[in-house]
Order: sequence, then C-alpha cells, then structure tokens
Amino acid sequence: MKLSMLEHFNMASEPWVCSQCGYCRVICPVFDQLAWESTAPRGKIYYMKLLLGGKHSLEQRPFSDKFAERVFQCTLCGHCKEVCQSKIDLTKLWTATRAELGNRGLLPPPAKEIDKAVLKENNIFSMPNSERTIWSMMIEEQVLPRINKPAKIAYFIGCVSAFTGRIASIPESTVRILDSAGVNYTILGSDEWCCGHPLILAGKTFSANRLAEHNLRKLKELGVEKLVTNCAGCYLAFKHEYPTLLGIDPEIEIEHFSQFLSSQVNGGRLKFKPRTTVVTYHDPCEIGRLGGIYEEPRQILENLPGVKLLEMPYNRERSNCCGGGGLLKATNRNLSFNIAEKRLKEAEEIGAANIATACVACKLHMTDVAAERCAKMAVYDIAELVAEFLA
Amino acid sequence: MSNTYITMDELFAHLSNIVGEEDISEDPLEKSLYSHDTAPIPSFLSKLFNMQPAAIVRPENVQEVAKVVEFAFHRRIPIVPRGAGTWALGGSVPVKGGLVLDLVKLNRIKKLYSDEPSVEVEAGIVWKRLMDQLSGEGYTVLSYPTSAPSSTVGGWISTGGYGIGSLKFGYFGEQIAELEVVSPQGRIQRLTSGSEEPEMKWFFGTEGVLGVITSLKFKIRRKPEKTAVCALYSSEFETVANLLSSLAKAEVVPYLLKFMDRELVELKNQVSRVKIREENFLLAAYEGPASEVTRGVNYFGEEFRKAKAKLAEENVCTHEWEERFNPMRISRLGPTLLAGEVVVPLNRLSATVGGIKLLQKKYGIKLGVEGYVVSRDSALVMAVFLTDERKTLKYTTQFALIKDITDIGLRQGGSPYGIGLWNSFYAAEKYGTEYFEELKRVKKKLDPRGIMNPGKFFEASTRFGFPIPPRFYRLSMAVGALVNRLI
Ligand SMILES: Cc1cc2nc3c(=O)[nH]c(=O)nc-3n(C[C@H](O)[C@H](O)[C@H](O)COP(=O)(O)OP(=O)(O)OC[C@H]3O[C@@H](n4cnc5c(N)ncnc54)[C@H](O)[C@@H]3O)c2cc1C
Repeated sequence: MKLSMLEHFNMASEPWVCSQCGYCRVICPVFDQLAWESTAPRGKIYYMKLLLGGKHSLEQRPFSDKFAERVFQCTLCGHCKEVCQSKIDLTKLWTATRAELGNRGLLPPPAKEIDKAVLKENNIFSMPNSERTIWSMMIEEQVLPRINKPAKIAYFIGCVSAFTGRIASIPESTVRILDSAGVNYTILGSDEWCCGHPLILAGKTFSANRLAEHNLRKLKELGVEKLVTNCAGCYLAFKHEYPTLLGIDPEIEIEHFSQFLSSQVNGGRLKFKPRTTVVTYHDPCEIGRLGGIYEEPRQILENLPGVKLLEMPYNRERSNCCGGGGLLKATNRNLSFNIAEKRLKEAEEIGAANIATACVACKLHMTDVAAERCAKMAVYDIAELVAEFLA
Repeated sequence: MSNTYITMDELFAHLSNIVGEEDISEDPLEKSLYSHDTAPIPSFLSKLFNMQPAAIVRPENVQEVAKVVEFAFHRRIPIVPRGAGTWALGGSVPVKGGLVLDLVKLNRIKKLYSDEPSVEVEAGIVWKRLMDQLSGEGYTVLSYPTSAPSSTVGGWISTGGYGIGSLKFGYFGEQIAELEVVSPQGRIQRLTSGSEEPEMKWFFGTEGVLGVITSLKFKIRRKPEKTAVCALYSSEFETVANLLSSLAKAEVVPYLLKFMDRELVELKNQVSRVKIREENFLLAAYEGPASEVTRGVNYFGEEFRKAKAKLAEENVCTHEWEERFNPMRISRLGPTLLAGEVVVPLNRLSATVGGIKLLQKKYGIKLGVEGYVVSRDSALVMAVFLTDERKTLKYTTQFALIKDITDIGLRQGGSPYGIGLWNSFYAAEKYGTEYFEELKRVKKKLDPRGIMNPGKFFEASTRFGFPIPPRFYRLSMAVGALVNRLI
C-alpha cells in the first residue's frame, strides 16, 4: 500500500529503520496512560510497516479505525524523537501520518472544525478576525498606536492569546514588558492570521501555506526583521515548520519571547522589585525538545529577585509533556487532563507552589486542570510572572 | 485449546471478570502488535507459526495474574508472558495463539530496604524507571541490560541476565534474594535460594516457560562516588583482546568493559555525532569509591602503555559511555539491522572474531563486531550487519548469517546466549544435557498441560504440530540463496 504523504515528506522508509527497541514506549505520555502497544510510537510505526509492506490482513479497510484514533492520541511532544536510537524524525512522521489521514478523509471532528474555522476567519476560533485585538481592551491606548506601524520588531500574538479572555494577561504583560524595556515594535492587528501550526497538527498541512505566505508578506511590508511571539506553537511554525514542512523560508529572524526577554534582562533593560516566590519551570515541548530552548527561560527566572527556582526530576530534554499539545485536549479531553495531572503532581512533589512555563497552551491547559482537579498550583506564563516583578 | 472449545465471547467474559474489560484487547490492530518482538523475521518462517494471540490481557497485580493463569490452565489455553518485547528470539511471541499476558501494569516498586541495600519490585517495571526512582533516594542497581530504557526487570532474569555492570557485580541471578512466581497452574509462590521444588534458579533464564515471575527482591548499591571512563584504539584486534583479558582479571575490575572492532567503528561513524578513530576500540568504565576508581584507571594506564595502544580522547570516552544504551544506532544504514550473538571464553575471543570476519568474505557483507566482557573469563560477542527486509530473497539468504555467527562461537567453546523460538535446537548445548533433562522434568511436573509459553525453548513447534528440525533454517535459507543466485 502506498502512503503518499509519507513519500512526500521522505519518510516512507522510516518504518523499516525502526528497530523496535521500545525506548519511545516508556517515555510516551500517552502510552504511560493507556499502555497498549498501539498507543506507543513503536506500535504505530510497526503498523505502518505492515501497511506499507502490504501485510495488513487486519480489517477489510486498509486503515484501521483504531489506528486513525491512535494517531490523534498523541501530544506531538517529541519525546519519542528525542530518545529514538535510530534517529527517526518521529514528530515529522506523525505529522505526515496525520496529513495522510487528512487526504483519506479520516480526521477526527475537532481537526475538521479547526480547518473550517481557519478557512472562514483565519483564526482557529471562528471569531471575526477583525476582533483579533480584543485582548488589548484594557490597554488600548498602548496597543492601538502600534498596530500596523512599521518597525523592525513584530510581536506576534497568536490565536490562543488573542481570543482567550482568561489568558489576555499574557499579551498584556508582554506589552508592559516591551514598553518598560523601551522596545519599538509593531503588532499586525487583524492582519495577523493563524500561523498555520494548528492546521499542521490537524492533518491539513498544506492549508497552512496560504497563512504562512500572508503573515510573512504583511511582516515584510512593515519592514520587520525579527518576529517575537510567546506562543510556542507559533514559534515552532515560523522557525521550523515553514522551512521543513512547507518549504517556505521566512527570511526574518524568529525568536521566542523567552529568548528575546532573556537578552533584555541580560542587557539590564528591565528593573525588578523583589518578591519571594518558589517556582519550578515546565519546559514546553514545542520550544524545548522541538525548539532547543531550555536555558533562556531559566536565566530569566534566576534573575528575578527573590525567586527560588526548583527543578522537577524530569526537565529539559527529559521533561514530561503537559498533555495539552497535538490537539489532544480537543480530541481526547480526559486523556490530556490525566497527563497534565501527573505533571502537576511532579511539581507538587518537589514543593513548588508555582509553575512557570513559556507557552500559552501549557499555561492554559495546566491552569484548567489544576482548577478541575483541585491541585493547589498557580501556573504562569513567564511574561506574566516577569510583569509582576517589574519595578 | 484442542479439547476444551471456548468461544471468544466466553473467553472475554471470563477474563473481564478477572482483570476488567479495559484490560483485555481482542482488537485486530492490537493483536498484530503483540505478535512479534524486535526481530524482523522473514515471512516464510513466521508463517509456520500461529503468532496471532486470541487476546492480550493486562493483569494489575499478582492475584489477577494467578487467576488468569489458573483459568488458562483449566481451559488449556496457552499463556505467553511478556515484559516489553525487546528480546529478539521470539520469547514473548505466541506461536500457538492463546493469551499474551502483558505485565506492563506490574510496574511498582514494592519496598526499598536501606540497611543491606536491596529493592523489591514488580516484574514489569522498566529498568530506567527503577533507576530514576532509586537515584532520587541515592541508590542505583548493580547491573542492567543495555536495553534498560525499555526492557523490564522480569524480562532480564527470564533471559540473559548479563549486561552493563555484570563484570563487576556478576550475573543478575546472583543478586536476587527472593522471587515471587505464579506457577502454570495458578499458584502464587515465594522462592528463595533455599527453596526446593520449585527451586528459584529454575526460573532464571528459562524464558517464561516454567511460570510467570511477578516480583523480585534483589541487591542494589549506593550511587557510586565516582565514575571514570577510559578508552583506547589499536590497529590490531589481538592487542585489544589481550587487554580485555588483563583488565578483566585486574585487582580492580571495570564496571563496564567492552570493545568494537574496526568495521563496527566505521559503521558507527557514519551516524555518530562524535567520530572515533577507525581502528579497534576498547572502553573500560570504572565505578565505585574514588580511591578504587583511581587504582583502576592507573592500572588501565599501565596496561595500555605496555600494549603500545593509543589513548582515546576524553570527548570520545564520554560520548561512548553515554552511547552505551544505543547499540542499534546504525540501523538507519540498513534499514534492517540483524545480529548474531554468542558467549565465548575470553581467551577464544580473537579466534571467534577472526572466524566471524571470514563470513564477511563468504557472504560479501560487512560485519561489525561488538562485545562485552561479562565475567573474568567470558565475553558476549555480537556481530551485526545491515540488510534490507524489503528485499525478500536476499534478506532470507542473509538471515542465515545469524546462525553461522553463533556456530563460529560454539566451535570456539562458546554457548548461545538465549534460546527462545529461533535457537531452540541449541538448548541442550547451552544448559548441558544433564541440567536440560532436569528442566524437561521440571516442565512436565509444573506444567503438565503445557500451557506456559508453549512451542519454544524445548522445541520450536510449528502450527502444523511438527517441530522444526535444527537443519531446517539452513536448508530453507540455502534454497533461498540458490533461488537468489538463479535469478
Ligand atoms: C537495544 C537493546 C539492547 C539490549 N541489550 C541487552 C543486554 O545488554 N543484555 C541482555 O541480556 N539482553 C539485551 N537485550 C535483549 C532484551 O532487551 C533483554 O533480554 C531484556 O531483558 C528483555 O526484557 P523484556 O522485558 O523486553 O522481555 P520480553 O522480550 O518481553 O520477554 C523475553 C522473554 O522473557 C519472558 N518473560 C518476560 N517477562 C517475564 C516474567 N515476568 N515472567 C516470566 N517470563 C517472562 C518472555 O516470555 C520471553 O520469553 C537488548 C535488546 C535491545 C533491543
């Protein structure tokens, strides 16, 4: 059987490269919860080998429904790729497999909905994109003058921060920090479209091209040389997915806000007041394992006066996922909550009362889970925490 | 399942009474994933067996294991214990259908004893998870397999039991104080070294054919004060072999002592971040109190100077130590990686490797050799080669190389490392006729109905009822080779 998306992404030999050693099994957050081989990366890749080798006498239909379900029971956290001794780019493989399901019309409902929403409104929430600055309601006088004003630096808000009222504090804090540091930056306003990352997760990889091209064109029109975003997904899209999956070179520098912020802190451009806080840092998969950013957020936290930074046993490359990625929260709510609960417990066990992270989705997800499952844990995006320390 | 017919519905109903519905699967996708292990078996071989289980069952504790086994015993349903399925000899693969007993949920640490450091764990716990948790308490294990990131503690005592740390601390079985097993008739038994009928040692290395190991208590140690890694190169394999012997017999023995021959180094360099000089390579890691480690390292220094070998760079030492868990790195070059393995006397190592090298010419294929000194006088030798499973005929021919590699080691006085399905004709050779006869007797007594991991170890019995004769593989693969040559 031919899997054209695997061929397109040059991944069709990978199921044979896999030696089935199973290192990906133990660290997989989904296998950890469900513990069936079919939920483990090695199980999925073995099934693909059966499909590609024409040995799938499993069901009448070429693609087992169970398999389609399993492909989306994955947070795309990249931990499997991290430990793979055969160095298979597993996140790329899962993305290609989702695209294959997309081509075959086998996507789960939430994936289809995201595709529809973005097609209609250029954001994942199906909200009129003209309301994309709704987050700035409380600080309009600071934000409005920046919109579409030419500048070398652009702050890319991202759909989640822009439309989710209860985390509007993240872009608000970011603006406060940028202003305190005296940065001259621009915001795209309603010309900011979804970055395309959610579509890649949803198996609609090529629908992301239109969005990427639009955003990059707008940024160039404003003379932007560097894009800064606190959304880990947007960062991953601009920095890595555009070039490797979409074949688009962004031609501008892409920085995660934690990188930008760390250089501001190091350059002494921000003044802080002390506050006693015990905090642990949760590495978001999309900037950590998938983006290689581990130290900058920690440097920032260590520079905040009065902050005691504790490490969870599983940190950096070995960090456990919060369960909120890969659309899992939409496709398998309970599973994604169970994964998060485990991560919250890890933080609790080392005696941290606060978690700082550098991803709007991690912040949102862990906050929701803490509230629903009664964990006494405050979860901050690093921008929110830093803003509280501003003198 | 012959004389007690049971419908799938009945089976499901019975099992769900024991483990609950969510811990049974009859899903076709799932079954296909529990019908293989790490070995990519040529299809003509796998077709000889009924590798699809009727269902996979995941008990959560020893009581559930016992109930499942008891039920299977009464209904004559084969039971196949499975750890993480990382072995390659077919041990966890059903060959007569039945139930795969997945021990994934038996993964708890039951108790940590700190005075004479030891730990009691459930058999399905993965080494790496155990080591992580012990580390938090200041402890670590004495030895572990290189597959520690995925394989289970129960899986290791059921198979080889040699790996990293074995040279210093001995065979895993020697570290075990107590074993909890479920007999093929469903009885829970706690065994110590003094137990008779069954004896504890019967369960060591017998690959799940005598019962299910559900928990183990074994020695651990405080985390070592110091670890030091030394490595060297030599253009002559003989030099490396001699050094391995002298280092293994030194006053301070290395924690890990391993080698790679030049061909393997060449292959590894194609995929590795840190390149090694393309010669024969030896690595010795010392662990323990700082003073002891220093003595070990000093001795290494003296020996390597006498031998006029070349010292490896520090970054190479660090990298190769970290790489100890990744013997399959080079699979990308295949894409299929196959290996033949055999345990040989240390003083026959050179001859073994020399013999393996002759196979290179015969098959026209590059063979990389790697080995671990596992005791003062023996080494586990692994010869790896790259092939492509998708090219059926060629692959089938090359598959025969695995047996040839083992045979070369046997001619040098070695023994096969494992039996399982694919090496069953070596079992008597491995255990010696006397002990093997004893095991046969034990098997009959403990498992009169032959439900426990049937069709392996004692014989490789096919779905058609007849066992595979020892010469079968060679024969069929020779036919494969012939056909290959003709077209
Ligand atoms: C990368 C890699 C490195 C390896 N390195 C080593 C090494 O250094 N040393 C070594 O010895 N092996 C090594 N192996 C082989 C394999 O990993 C080991 O044999 C391991 O101990 C098997 O454990 P498992 O949990 O995967 O067992 P499985 O593969 O699931 O089972 C192996 C056999 O044991 C039986 N079994 C498993 N658990 C139980 C139980 N609780 N009770 C009764 N029977 C049971 C099964 O029925 C089967 O016959 C390596 C494999 C890989 C892939």
